[in-house]
Amino acid sequence: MLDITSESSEARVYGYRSSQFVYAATFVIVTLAALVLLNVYITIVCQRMVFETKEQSLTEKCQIAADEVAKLTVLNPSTVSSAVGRMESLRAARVIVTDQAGLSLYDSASASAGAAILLPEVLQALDGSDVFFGAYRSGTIFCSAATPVFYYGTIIGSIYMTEYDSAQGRLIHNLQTKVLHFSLAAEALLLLFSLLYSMGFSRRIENIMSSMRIIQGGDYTHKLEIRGNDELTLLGREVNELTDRLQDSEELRRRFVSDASHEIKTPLASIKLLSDSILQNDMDAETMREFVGDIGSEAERLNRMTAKLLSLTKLDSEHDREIEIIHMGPTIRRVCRMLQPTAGAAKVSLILELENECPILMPEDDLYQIVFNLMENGIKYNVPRGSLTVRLVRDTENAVLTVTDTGMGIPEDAVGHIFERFYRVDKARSRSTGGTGLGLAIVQTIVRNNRGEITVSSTPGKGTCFTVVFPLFDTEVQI
Amino acid sequence: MKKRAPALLLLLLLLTGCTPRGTPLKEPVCFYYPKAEYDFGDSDSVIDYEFREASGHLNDLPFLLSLYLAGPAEDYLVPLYPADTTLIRAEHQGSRILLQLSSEAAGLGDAHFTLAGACLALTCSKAIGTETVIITSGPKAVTIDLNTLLLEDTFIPEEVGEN
Repeated sequence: MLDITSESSEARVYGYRSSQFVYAATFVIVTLAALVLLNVYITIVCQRMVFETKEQSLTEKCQIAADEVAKLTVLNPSTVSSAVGRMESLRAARVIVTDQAGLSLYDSASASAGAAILLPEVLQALDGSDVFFGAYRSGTIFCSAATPVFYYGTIIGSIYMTEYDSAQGRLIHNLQTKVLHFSLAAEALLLLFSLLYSMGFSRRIENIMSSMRIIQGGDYTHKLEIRGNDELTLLGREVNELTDRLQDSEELRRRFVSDASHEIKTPLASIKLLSDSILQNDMDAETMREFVGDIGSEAERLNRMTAKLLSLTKLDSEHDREIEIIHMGPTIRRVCRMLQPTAGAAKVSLILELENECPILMPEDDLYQIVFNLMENGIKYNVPRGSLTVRLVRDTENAVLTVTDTGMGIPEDAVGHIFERFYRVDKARSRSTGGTGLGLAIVQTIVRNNRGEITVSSTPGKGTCFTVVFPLFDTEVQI
Repeated sequence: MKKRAPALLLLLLLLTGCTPRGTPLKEPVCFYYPKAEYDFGDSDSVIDYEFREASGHLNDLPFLLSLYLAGPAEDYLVPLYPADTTLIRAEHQGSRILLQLSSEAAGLGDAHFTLAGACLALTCSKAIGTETVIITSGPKAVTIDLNTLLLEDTFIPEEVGEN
């Protein structure tokens, strides 16, 4: 039964924020900020362009008027008024001419001559500076400019002019309105797009989460379906691959537990049966001794099996073991000496063809275990007067160890399984020879732990050949 | 003690915030001076004012002008008349008032003399209600009519106003 009720469990996590909301909000805020900046920038640039043009034209008009006023021999309201009246091209909203004290000589908007004109622009002009001011207000451009009137290097007055330009103001206003409308439309589209995108993205994330919850519930057959070709698709694929590996691992674990239970149960059942027979039947001392001997054999087999299981577990869990540079030849010879009596009893001759210099990097105990298991198997499953050849050669980069027997061989369909734990080709014979079905599994694990490779080739009725390859570690070359 | 500390801090802030900034004036009078800084355009003027205490001298123009000539108290205002300028004579001439200042004031440039005169005229207007002030100093003289004094250009052409 899958636990589907925990779907909204993430909502209970402290500080949880929907990625959909975060992405959408971020996107909207960023685009909104960009559009506001765009609007402001366009407005400022347009106004600046207009003001620059206005400054040039209005200052020029002030200069023309100042030149005309400077030509006057007498400076009074009457002469100034006539001079300004002659300048039809000025076309300013307001023209004020003052004397050097800032008193009005001419004002196009007022008839009061002699009035004190204390506008900031006029005061600046009377201090000798040209002044321009521009502003944009509710669809109208307002500009003011002032310039001093010089007479032989002395300031004798000032000219002040203002201009209102509604036409250009309307242009700017229209442009601003259009840019604003465009920005609002663009923002609305972006909002819609970000909403749709984030919803889609969120849905895919939720899909992955749901699948992971299902897998977490133990259903390793569940497959995640993610369409598209982006990071989420890759994530989906990774999750599926992980699930496959979990499924394989779970299958192996179950089979191992089942096999181990079965293998342990068999000798225990024999021991129980034999001990029951001893207890329930009156038997002679010779039979009883035989039964007790059988119990001892089964117990010994059980002991060997548990020792090998422990060894396998140790190999699986140990990753940081001390390694050393060893020469393979001496270790192989030591194993050979150890197994010589067994081989003699089985009437199997041992043949060694070893190259001397084959240094490799691994613990010596590991190599001993590999060679021992392979040679022991070669002796056990050989035929009387058969032979077991152990050959060690080196190529450019590797040391190659082959263990070839002249035994019964392995059926073709069993070759792919012989490294599996508790797998036996011939169960009856294996048990009779004291096999546990773990020897080759141990060999393969050790070989892999030491960066080596093991392969097997076999011809039923003729024999089997195991080939183990380890990378050479020549000190002169490596260092 | 931990609970009292924020309460004490809040009380301190409230007390600081509620304390009146400066003593209220009993009989204030408005003095006009040029601004230290001003902007262009029609929204700003070159003249601003401050209030000063004139207890018992509200109608005493010579006293008020002597106080005025001492310069402004606020930093955003600047004095134009030289520090040693004094009032020599203050005389009503019908609806106008004539102010004769010592000759130091004549050292001002023409435009600055007009600006200083405008400030003085505005101050007199607030004090005694006169609209026209004639200021003389040495050879210089300026007549400030507050009805025609232009400090801000608020004129808008008709065609623009209609829009």
